Amino acid sequence: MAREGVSHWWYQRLTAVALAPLTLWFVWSTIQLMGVDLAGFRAWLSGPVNLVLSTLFVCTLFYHMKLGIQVIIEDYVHDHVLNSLGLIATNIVSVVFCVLTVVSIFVIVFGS
Amino acid sequence: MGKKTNLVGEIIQDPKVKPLSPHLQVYRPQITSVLSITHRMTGVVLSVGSLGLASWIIAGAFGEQVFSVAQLIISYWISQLLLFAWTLCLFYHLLNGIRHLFWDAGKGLEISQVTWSGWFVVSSACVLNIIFWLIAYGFFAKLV
Repeated sequence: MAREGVSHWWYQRLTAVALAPLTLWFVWSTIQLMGVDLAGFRAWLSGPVNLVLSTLFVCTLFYHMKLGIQVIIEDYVHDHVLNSLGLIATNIVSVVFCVLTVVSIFVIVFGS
Repeated sequence: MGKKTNLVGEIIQDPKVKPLSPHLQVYRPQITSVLSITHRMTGVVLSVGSLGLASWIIAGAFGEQVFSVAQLIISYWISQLLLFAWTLCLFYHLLNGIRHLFWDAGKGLEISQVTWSGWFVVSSACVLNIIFWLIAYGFFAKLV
């Protein structure tokens, strides 16, 4: 669609800048979470900083992913139908996984 | 295979088949072009891996039993191998992404700088990945 190029480019960079420190935090966190059970995971996730950063990381990651895959489909899938289907699938998968993951984070922390 | 040639053996192009430019296949692979496509490929790998990572968190919402199954699956050697490849893609995409951000700011665009930063990104990603997995497997803890 017309006139979306600039905002797409801009959001791609914005999410990239946000993801750089978030990814380092995530990498560091995974080292501490290796082989932990659910109680340990819940204890870690319940820290307010970890809860906020996890949620931010998941949302930013899936948005960045959606923008990136979108560009790849636009550049390499020339078949009109496949192109449209690919873009729709990308949107659905990104949104569904983002929502499911964020809901899961809150279920783990605040659920029974 | 049945290509039409003229009297001196040159292939006659079908006028309907227009030549494409640039001819990607005649270029020698260079650090610039190879790393550019690698950024996209690692992006795809990271996307697929992220869905797996998300599934791991989602498993946690289903309780202790489902989560322990997820933990068991991750502990298989094939999963660990895939994770090793995934984190290598992650470090590469992270560092090369920062390289892209420098370019967006108009910095490091000289050919010599692009070549230098390209090799720097590749080697740093490898080193970071090895350090990450050594820490993950408690290698440094054993040294202390």
